[in-house]
Order: sequence, then C-alpha cells, then structure tokens
Amino acid sequence: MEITKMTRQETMALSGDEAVAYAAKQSDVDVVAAYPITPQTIIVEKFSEYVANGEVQTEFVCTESEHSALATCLAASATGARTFTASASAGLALMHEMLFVASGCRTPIVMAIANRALSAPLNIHGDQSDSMAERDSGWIHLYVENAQEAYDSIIQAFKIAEDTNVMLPVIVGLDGFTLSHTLENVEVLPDDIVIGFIGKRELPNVLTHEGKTVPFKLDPDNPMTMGPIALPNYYFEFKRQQEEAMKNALKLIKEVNSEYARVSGRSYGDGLIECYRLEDADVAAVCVGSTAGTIKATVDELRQEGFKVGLLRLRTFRPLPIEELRSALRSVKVIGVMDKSMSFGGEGGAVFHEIRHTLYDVEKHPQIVDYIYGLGGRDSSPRELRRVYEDLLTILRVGHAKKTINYIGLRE
Amino acid sequence: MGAPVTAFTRVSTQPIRIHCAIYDPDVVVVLDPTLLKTVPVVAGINKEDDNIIINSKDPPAKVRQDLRVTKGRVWTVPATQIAIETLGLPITNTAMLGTVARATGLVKMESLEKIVRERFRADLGEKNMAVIKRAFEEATKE
Amino acid sequence: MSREKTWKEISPAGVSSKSSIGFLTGDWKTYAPIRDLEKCTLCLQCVMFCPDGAIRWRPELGKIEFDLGFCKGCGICANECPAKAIKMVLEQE
Repeated sequence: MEITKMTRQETMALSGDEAVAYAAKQSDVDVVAAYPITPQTIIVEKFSEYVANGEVQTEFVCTESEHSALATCLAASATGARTFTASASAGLALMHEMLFVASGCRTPIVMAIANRALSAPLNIHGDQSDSMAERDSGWIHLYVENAQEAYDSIIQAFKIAEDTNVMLPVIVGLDGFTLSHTLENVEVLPDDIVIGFIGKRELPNVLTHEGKTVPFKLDPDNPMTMGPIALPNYYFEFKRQQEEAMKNALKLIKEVNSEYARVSGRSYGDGLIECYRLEDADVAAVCVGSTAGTIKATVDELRQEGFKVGLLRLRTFRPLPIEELRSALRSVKVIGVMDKSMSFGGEGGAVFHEIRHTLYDVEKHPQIVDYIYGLGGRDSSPRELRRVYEDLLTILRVGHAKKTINYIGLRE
Repeated sequence: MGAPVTAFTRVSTQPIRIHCAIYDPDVVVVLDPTLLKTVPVVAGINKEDDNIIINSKDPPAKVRQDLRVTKGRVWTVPATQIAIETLGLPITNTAMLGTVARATGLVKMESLEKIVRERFRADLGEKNMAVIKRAFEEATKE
Repeated sequence: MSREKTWKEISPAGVSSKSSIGFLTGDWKTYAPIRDLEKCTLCLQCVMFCPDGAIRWRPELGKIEFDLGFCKGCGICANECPAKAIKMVLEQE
C-alpha cells in the first residue's frame, strides 16, 4: 500500500505503557504471550482488555514466567505469526537464555521493555541496567524519549524486525515510571494506515531437509527444524550471518524512519541518532532515553547564555551506528556520556564504553568522560544536569578531565 | 490511604520536553492528610501565589500552622468525607481535582465534566461529578 | 528527619536498618476493624486470614489481639468472620 500523503491523526492522552499497548493493538499482532512486572504491567493489562473486548484478533497467552512468555512468542513467531511481548528488570533477566535463541532463530519478535533497575537490593524504579545487560543478545535496541516516540517506535519495530534482510527481534526501551507511567499527548494514526505501513510479514525461502524450497516457517506440510545443533564447524557461520543482519538493520532503520515521517509527519533524527544543536557545539552530552528531553532544555538555557553546547541522543543502541556517531561528533571537543546503568568492574557504563570505542579510530580524539546517573530511579534535577555541562566546559578550558567516571547525585 | 506515593504533573501550552521531578512546584496537592506528618510536602514552596491544597477536615489556618509554611495560599477540603458520602468509598482523587480547579482555575468545570463522563460510565460519572462540584464549593482558603 | 547515609556508611546488600516491625504501616488504613467481643467465638478465622499477621492469638491470655499499628484496613477479617463480630469503621484522624 503506497502511502504518500500525511494522514489525519487523533490526539490521545496516553502513558508510555498505554501508547505501547495502543500501537501493538493497531499492528495486527497474532500472538501475545506475556507475564506482568512493574512498570510494564499496564501494557499487558491494556492489551488484555483489547482482547477481552474483541478489539484485536490476537491469541493472548498468560504464561507462568517471562522465560515461558518469550519461548511462546518464539515458537509462534517461528510459525510465521506476528508476535509481541513486554517485560522489564528481573523479567527480562529471566528471559536471558531465550533472547539468544530468539535472535539465533531469526524470529522478528517485538518486545517493549519498561526499563527498570535490577535487584538486589530490590528496586522497581527506572534505570537502563535491564536492557543494557542484554546488549550482546542479538536483538535490535531502540530507546525512546517520550510516549509519542514509544507509540511510533513499536509500529516501526514490526516493520524493521520483519524485513527479510534483517529478521531480528527488536527491543523498544522506555524509561520505567518516567515514561511508562507518565501521561503525555500522543498523536495516533488511523488503524488502516498502521496496517498499511507495516504490511504483511514476508518470509524468505529456505531449502529444507526434504529438498523443498519453501517459506521460512514451521509448517507440518513442509517440515523443517530451526535452531538445531550446529557443531564447531558451522556455529560460527550462523553467528556471522546474524551480524550481517544487524548491519542491514542500520540502513533499514533509517529508511523506516523516513517512510514513517511521510505518513505521520514525525521522525527521530535519522532513526539512529538525534542531534540537538550539535553542529557547532564545543561540548556535548550523549544520552539514551527520556533524560535527553530534560537535557535539551538545559542546552537551550546554556545556549542563551552564549555557550556552544549540544546533545546527541542515541536512539538505536544496537546496531551501534558508528559512522553516524563519528560524523555527528566530529567537531565536538569534550563529550559527557550519560549512563543510566553500570558495568561493574568495567570502569564506566555501557554507553561510555561504546562511545569511546566508536571514537577510538578518529583522527582528532575528543575528551570523553562518563556520568553515571539515575540508578534505581534517582532523579537528576535540571540543576545537576547543568553541572554536567559546566564540567565539560571546564574540561574544555583546562584541556583535560580530572575525573573520568562521575556519579550524579551520589551521596559520597 | 495506601503506600505513600509522589507524582508530578506539568501543564503547559508548549510541548513539554523535561522528564525530571518537580523541585519548585506552583501547586502541591495532598490527598492523604496523614502524610503531613511524615513527608515534607511543602518543600519547594517559595512563591506567594503557590497553591497548597490539602485533604483535611481542619481549617486552612490550622494546616498552615502545622506545616509551618509562610508562602503560598493554603486550601483545605474534607475530601475523604465528601467521597465517602457521595461515592461510598474513600477515594479522594476527583474531590481533589475539583479543589484544584477552584484554587488554580487551570481547568474549567465544563472540561472536567466532559472527561469525567467519558472516563466513568453513567451512574459513576454522575457521582464523580457530584464529588467534584461539592469539593469545588466546600474548599476553603485562608 | 535524620540525614540520608553516604555509600560508605551503609551495610552491604541493603541489610535493613530496621526490621518490618519498625515500619508502622497501620497509618495507611482508612477503615479500622472494630470487634464486638460478645459475638466473638474465638474461632481464630481472623487470625488465619489476616494477610499482614496483624491479628494474633494469645493463648496464654485467652485473647485475640488486633495490632492496629500494622492493620492496613483491608477488611478481610470482617468479611471472613463467621459470627459477624467485626465491623470496618472509618478511622477518625
């Protein structure tokens, strides 16, 4: 279905979780298998209401755990069904084993993660430890800044995941409570436009053990085995194939972003990264998730005062958009990376490590320092975020950083 | 009335980008008066026209004294009583909404009515509107 | 209110500074259970049903004790009492 003009949209007041559920509702999902966990519960509760009211034609499976939920989605997806689920924190951690199976079996599951801290000690509030701990699992990771983007990204996620050059599951991360439970204005597309945008799931053809070339799905008429044993002489090649799919995803995410803009009028940077007042910035923060919104206000304030500061919001964390990052940050002299998670014993958080890695091979090395913040849902005030920039400007002036790893708001 | 919870709301005619807690509130609403003893509800109140809206049977002057707050306007409304008498349940949300409408003028009664009737079916919509109207009338400030 | 501790001052693994006995959640309630001792048959259903363990059987005293410091006013005891000896009453502040 060719969609070329902008469509009339309805503005609804939705929380991040409700926006996710609404997007899933419109996406013609065949199977939802899920288990509740704060702060994702509203997603599955809302969706189960849609099922009960007959507003969707979805098979809703209440499983006994998140591990089973993902196993169910994986199995359904392997038969060619479009599947969706959601989790957070310990629930996502419980799925850990199955995450790798899902990506290895090339099942295009879409999963919303209402990012929440991991135990122990127990904490139900928002930080990004849960999905950062799964960055090696072979899933595409998109992180959203607000409820509108949560809605848009779930719809885009199905299209990205199901593309035959990708066929990888997608995590859409939204900050727990900050986004999951906050009501915001969300413009929603009409049902038919969403369906038209995502399209039907296409399947590539594969050669089965019966010598038949048939669509890639479990089918009693054309039996095949997915994900069986691969010995040392083959396992490596399958993994390389997955990596190629990740590379294809980089291009596709940008295309889907542009196409979605034509339908909705909304886009998020180039789909991979979003640059805010970065072109002539001397110093910049790199941020993932909702805090980027608060930082934009801080950037505006400092720009008013004459400081050349900017922000890069990393929307796609996997695949890591290395070229785009290098290009956007090429003239920034001091970078403060914001990490809402820690990698214990690794000196810094995940985003810090990856930004340093990204910029290792560039000619002019900027100063790169880490700001670990918001763990266990601790709020970072505009005052504290401004101090990050004041720090970066000091580093610019002095020429080097006194401390590489900083903690915002930690009682020391 | 359940575990203590803090929530934040921003209202603006411009798109709201910030996602942090509120440190300098223009309005503080307390739905459970027992919190006044344990939570610093008026921290950050620093302007004369800030509104402090408390569910309480006490008059505003007494609450102001108990809170030891000098700035802002203190409003009280017996929301629990209104809710129990009208709804049959001690759920004070809509009563406090009525009081916020009265104190701040941020939202018109017609707008509230439209939303309440959409959100709650027939008889419940009727009752919640009655709660809102009563709270609107019965709130007092000093 | 005492100041919050720094990371150097706290115990590992979040070992609590006080047990749950120290957290008086009784002030969460809106309704409190009131017993009619004339009707109570000491069947102990309320003791068994209370989800908070706020109702205790004291055999040495021959009494059932309601600990309102922990009762959250859920009303399960009143609902389960076969003798209808418990009523939930609006707690006056």
